[in-house]
Amino acid sequence: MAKSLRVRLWLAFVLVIIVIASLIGVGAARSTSYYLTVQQALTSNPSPFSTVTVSGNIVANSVVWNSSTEALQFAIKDKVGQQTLVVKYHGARPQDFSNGWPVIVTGTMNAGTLTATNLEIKCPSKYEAKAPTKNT
Amino acid sequence: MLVGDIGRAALFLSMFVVPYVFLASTFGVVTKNKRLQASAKAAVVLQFVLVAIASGALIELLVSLNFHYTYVAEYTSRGLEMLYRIAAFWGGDAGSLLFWLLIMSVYLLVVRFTTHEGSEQMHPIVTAIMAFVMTFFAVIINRVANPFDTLPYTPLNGNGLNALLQNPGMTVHPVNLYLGYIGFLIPFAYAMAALILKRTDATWLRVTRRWTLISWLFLSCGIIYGAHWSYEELGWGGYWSWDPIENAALMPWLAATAFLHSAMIQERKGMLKAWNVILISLTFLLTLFGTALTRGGMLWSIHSFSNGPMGTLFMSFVGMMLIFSTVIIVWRFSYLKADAKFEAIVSKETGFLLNNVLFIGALFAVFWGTVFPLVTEAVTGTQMMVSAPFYDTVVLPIGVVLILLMAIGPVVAWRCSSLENLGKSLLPPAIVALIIVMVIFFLGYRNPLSLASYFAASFVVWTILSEFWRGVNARMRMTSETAVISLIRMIGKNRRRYGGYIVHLAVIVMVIGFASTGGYSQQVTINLRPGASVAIGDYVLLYHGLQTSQKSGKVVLSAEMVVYTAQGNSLGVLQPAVEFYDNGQSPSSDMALYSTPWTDLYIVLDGTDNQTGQALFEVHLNPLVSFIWAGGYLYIVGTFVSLWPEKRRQDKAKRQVIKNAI
Repeated sequence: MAKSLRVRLWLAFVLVIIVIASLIGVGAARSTSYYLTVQQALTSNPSPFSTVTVSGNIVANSVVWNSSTEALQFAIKDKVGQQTLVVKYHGARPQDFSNGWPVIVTGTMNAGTLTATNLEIKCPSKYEAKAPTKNT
Repeated sequence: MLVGDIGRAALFLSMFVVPYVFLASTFGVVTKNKRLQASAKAAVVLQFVLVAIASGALIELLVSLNFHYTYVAEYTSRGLEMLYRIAAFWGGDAGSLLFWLLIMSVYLLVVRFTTHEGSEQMHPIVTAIMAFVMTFFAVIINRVANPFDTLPYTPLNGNGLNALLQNPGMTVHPVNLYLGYIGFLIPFAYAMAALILKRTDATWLRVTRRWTLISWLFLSCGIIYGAHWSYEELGWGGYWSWDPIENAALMPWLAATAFLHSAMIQERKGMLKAWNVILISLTFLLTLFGTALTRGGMLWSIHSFSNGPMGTLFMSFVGMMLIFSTVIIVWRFSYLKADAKFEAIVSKETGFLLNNVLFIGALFAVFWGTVFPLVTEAVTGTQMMVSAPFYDTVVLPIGVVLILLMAIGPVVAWRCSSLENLGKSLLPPAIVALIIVMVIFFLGYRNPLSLASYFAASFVVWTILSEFWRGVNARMRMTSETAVISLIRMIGKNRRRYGGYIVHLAVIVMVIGFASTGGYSQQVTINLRPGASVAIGDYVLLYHGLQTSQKSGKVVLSAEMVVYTAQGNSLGVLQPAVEFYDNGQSPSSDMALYSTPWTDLYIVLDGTDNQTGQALFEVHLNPLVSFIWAGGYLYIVGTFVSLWPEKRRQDKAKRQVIKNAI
């Protein structure tokens, strides 16, 4: 292989890598969020501008849903601590929404409340065994 | 009880027979002891029989609903249909691991008893490597997740299967993924054997080509099935969410697809030898990594994970195999020199090289995004994560460039091509593609990424169809066959090439679906009183009211929606519903779908007010979703064309004449 050809091939290769790396940089800047436990979300005082993601289970009887304004409020709790985090969400109430169901919320923290921009319900894994209460 | 005891005993014995296969093969090779090698071969049969007995026993326990066994009690219940009782075999941790072991046993049996060029030297080593991996599984099943564990009592009923998963597609989807995952063990084992034997020519690629293609096909089908199920059952209007579990299947697919392409370069030109060995090792390691993710509970996801020691064990095993393959590759690196060199900057070879760099770039991005929470936690103590926009930003542009390469590939010559020549042959399709995109643009569809995809897609369709056209034309001139016969015979005589083109066309059909749903889906969330209506696209939906019906084990609350065209013609009634289960399981929504080849009208019932009869609907209008599923079927056809053995007794002279004419 001629030397100049090898250099050109390497240059092309480096160029492609730089493009991909910058895509990764841009993508990461656009969508990175802190993944916190309920306790961390409550105590670490994240800036109201940074996005946080918290997962937990819906606390029994905490769901308040106003269908005319589409305002949804509920509290979640995770396995780590006993504290609960109040979540406000504006948008459609997911149907699979009931007590104890695991959810993942993404949004910003403000005065101890999480205003969610995204709400996901965990879906059951393949043939997942339900609560481990059966054989104890 | 007897059946379970037999199953447990067979499984227990396999924990000794499988390692014996490994040890006897290894020492048989090292000491060149033919008798040891022969005894390993016999033990391959024995381990298959044992694992088959264990699997049969587990299926019998599941079918007969023997709740004394923990596994049966966890995954089945009275009244569960037979199909899902059997599907429970691969449903849970313990059962799916046994299912893996069963498939690997079958594969090993087939591999060990088929002969091919070089099989005498390769077989013992391949057997040893496969048996080593199987030993890991056999030990885990026996010591950590035994499907034959029993409860101290026999419950009256089992837990049953989640309702969302009681969908025939969902029984096939995990099987597809598993078959895809497991199959890559074979090319990996052959690659390692080839290195150990210093046989670094393309023999191992030729021998394992079908294994690789079949595994790749299964993996692809598994991914598409999963997307389809997600779309039809989960009711969020989409089919792919860049969830870690989805990524776990996508990563080996990306590596395997890169491998399928670069393997061609080695077969034809003897180049990229080291690269191919690295790619197949990467593919295999990623299948193990994917299993660790799904079974390990290391990362959260919208799929809930199973937890336990399994993740750590699997990750340690991935580490062990990573070290093993790295050592072998480094040890034999000097034998991986290329037979030829790159001769020009523009050639088919460099095109394939770019294809590989892009696939691996996309793979790296997906991998990085998936493990980002683990990395940031290790470094900063706080987990950070990336969401779907990250993947969209990185992977979609790479995808568009890959499609452009698909278009350019057939036109570029091997060894050496010039930009000038390339420009000449690419100018007409580029102009046609540009005109098509401009028409789409002026029709009002202006999402830049979608337009770029349409451009690339039109490009590919042109170059591939002209390949077909040229081939058929030349053949017709030579043979005076009709066009159809010519086409069929031409494909039949060069299945690999035209099968590959058909797969490319299938990918294009799917890409058109992805680009359209990604760029032009509409969504309305609206609260309606009975008698009120909502318009979306060319449809008007009139809400009539709610009704409740009692079905076995559940209450179904459904909304009646009459669908009209914009001109006022009735198209029928759609009933999005919610199902409430008597056993207290969380309710699930059952979306309603009106699907035409051009659009999917997709309605989810989001909430109801029983006093006023008001209901909240989420209405999606997704264009060209059917293209994704149709493309999936074409993809299978193309892969089969490529897989099917080519007829050897061809009229060589005739072939040469046709070739010259082309």
